[in-house]
Amino acid sequence: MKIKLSRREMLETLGGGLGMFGLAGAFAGLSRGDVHAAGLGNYAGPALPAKAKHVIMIYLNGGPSQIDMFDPKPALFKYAGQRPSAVDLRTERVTAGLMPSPFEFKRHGRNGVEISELLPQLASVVDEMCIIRSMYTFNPTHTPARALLHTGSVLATRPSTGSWITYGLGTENQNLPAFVALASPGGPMTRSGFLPSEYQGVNFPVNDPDPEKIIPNLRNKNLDANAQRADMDALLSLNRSHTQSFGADQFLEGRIKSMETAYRMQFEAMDLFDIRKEPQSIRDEYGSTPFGTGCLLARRLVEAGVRFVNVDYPGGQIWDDHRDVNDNLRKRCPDMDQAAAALIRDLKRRGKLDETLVVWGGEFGRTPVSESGSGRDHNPYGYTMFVAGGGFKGGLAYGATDEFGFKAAENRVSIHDLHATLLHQLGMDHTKLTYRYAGRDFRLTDVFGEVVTDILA
Amino acid sequence: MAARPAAQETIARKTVREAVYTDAQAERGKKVYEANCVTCHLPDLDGSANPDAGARGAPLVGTRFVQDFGESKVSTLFNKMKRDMPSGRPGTLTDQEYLDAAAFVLQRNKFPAGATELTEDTAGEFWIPGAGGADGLQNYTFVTTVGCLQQDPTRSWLLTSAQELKKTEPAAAGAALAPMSDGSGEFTFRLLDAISYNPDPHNGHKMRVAGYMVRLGAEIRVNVQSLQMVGTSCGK
Repeated sequence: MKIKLSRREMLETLGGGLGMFGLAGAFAGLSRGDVHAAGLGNYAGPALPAKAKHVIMIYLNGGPSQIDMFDPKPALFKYAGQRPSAVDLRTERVTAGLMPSPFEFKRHGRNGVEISELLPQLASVVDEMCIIRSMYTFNPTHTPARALLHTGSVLATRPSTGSWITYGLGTENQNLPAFVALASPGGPMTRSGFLPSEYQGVNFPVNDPDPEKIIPNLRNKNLDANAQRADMDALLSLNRSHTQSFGADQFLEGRIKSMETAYRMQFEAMDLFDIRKEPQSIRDEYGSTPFGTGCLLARRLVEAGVRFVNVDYPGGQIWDDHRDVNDNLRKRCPDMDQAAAALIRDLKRRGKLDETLVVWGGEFGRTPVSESGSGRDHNPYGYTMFVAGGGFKGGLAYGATDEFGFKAAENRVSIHDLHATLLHQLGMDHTKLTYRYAGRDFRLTDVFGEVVTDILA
Repeated sequence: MAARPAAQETIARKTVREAVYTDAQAERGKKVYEANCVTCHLPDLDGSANPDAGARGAPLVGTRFVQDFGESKVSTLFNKMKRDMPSGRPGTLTDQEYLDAAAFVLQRNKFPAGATELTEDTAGEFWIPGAGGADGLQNYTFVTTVGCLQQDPTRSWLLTSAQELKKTEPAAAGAALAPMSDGSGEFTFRLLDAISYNPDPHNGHKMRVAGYMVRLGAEIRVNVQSLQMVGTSCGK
């Protein structure tokens, strides 16, 4: 059986259930353009001029040290070991005096932005980067701060940014999940919360570049394509009968969509997830590490139409340097730096950086005061993130922390402001991207957030 | 503003320059080394730093030794040997043999012998100095030195052929520093924040640097607070 739908029929089917559309789309062999034209996104606000179509979120779990990477503070030397009142801020743990960074900062790019010696590769692409040195968030503890970064709320049940964006814009490729997470521990990084479950991030490991290890058991080895299609048709028919009898159920719809996506992934995913098909020179550029694999896969996924990719630096909460921050950063930064810079460079070379937002950061930064003699505590008061591409200004160091690098002081940017600005660049008014749940409309930015126009090209 | 802790002002650490082993112990250690270590680390202890020998053991002398064990107590060397060596049969020597071998390594790194043998207690008490002649100086001590200002291929500013760091009092910005010998030294220091002091016109000049010493592993760096020209050539 082959289902053929007219455009009108397809749209009517949408009204009767999104799950129906997903499977029908695959069977009808709709082109990506047709699917996109169908307007699968749910954003109903005014259409802003979109600069970007995709987001790659590079997440450094634990809170990377901005003092040692992006925010030079030479004044720390003069006051080393001292604890002036300006740094007497409450953080998670007991801290001591100011601890200068031993790393060298040099000026890079057309605007002479200072970046640490730890990041020579990112420094080489600084003209594509908008470095926000005045980020702040609202909690000094990992779990709530991580939720704030990824969902805009400290509450554990809210949808992730990737879920909001895919809910708003839909997908460009019906054969793949719209929201992919690589090496993610899950939780707020991928959770769809009260949004329909088809907007949940689908997580894949990247420890081994073999696609059979990344997506085990994807191919059905027992049934050929025709038999699988017959199975899916029968299942679809049963599901439609259920819906007609009991009414629409968003959770059932979400599950149907997820199963259909998994079915359709057979046709595209194994090739797409096989980074061994990339030229060796490209693989070398990213580096043969799990994080390099993640970044290269992220580029391939957005090129294939995936809307949002979350790339975790593997290893869990590994940037949480309460001790030995200098040694740890020297071990950890090289492969992060190489792969993140390669991603920006590669997207630029392929003409994709303008339409892709590459966001880099952790749930907070680290203190300029020491902890345990050789580490730094969590710092939600002032830290650095950067965004490359997607219509953000390149070669810019925006905002500033105070003299010691503890609090955002000039042109402060909250995590809600960043979310609002990302949505703006994707063509959505953050106050209009809403979902009604439990009797009221919810937003990614809750009741906060201002678009930071100063950092937009 | 709170006062700087007193510990920052003192020279507190004891180093192996204070003679922590005896010649007799190093001689015993040489025999241990020749029986158990020489295959990988080679007779001259240069190991994998010798490009012709194809050895796989890490060098136990020179820069690499300073990188691996500088700014560590001797116990770090002792524990490393006891835990991992000899390769393929770690922990098979006696503690005394490991201590003797450590004494031999210290001897070959030109640290002086004395009247007292190295023991586990003294290994945990004495430090192996890092590069830079900053033995005993606490991190962030204000220091001064004279050397040749140069920029490396990565545009880092270095002070080469520099004299040993000397502790001094922080001088007011721009004030003349106390006289200092303008002779050449043996150290190289990477300078932090040199770009704030307009270093380009002084590339290749002999310069007096004052600033805060900072350790990064075994490396000593100086955060520049003052940069003054001593001579227009490095005058080697």
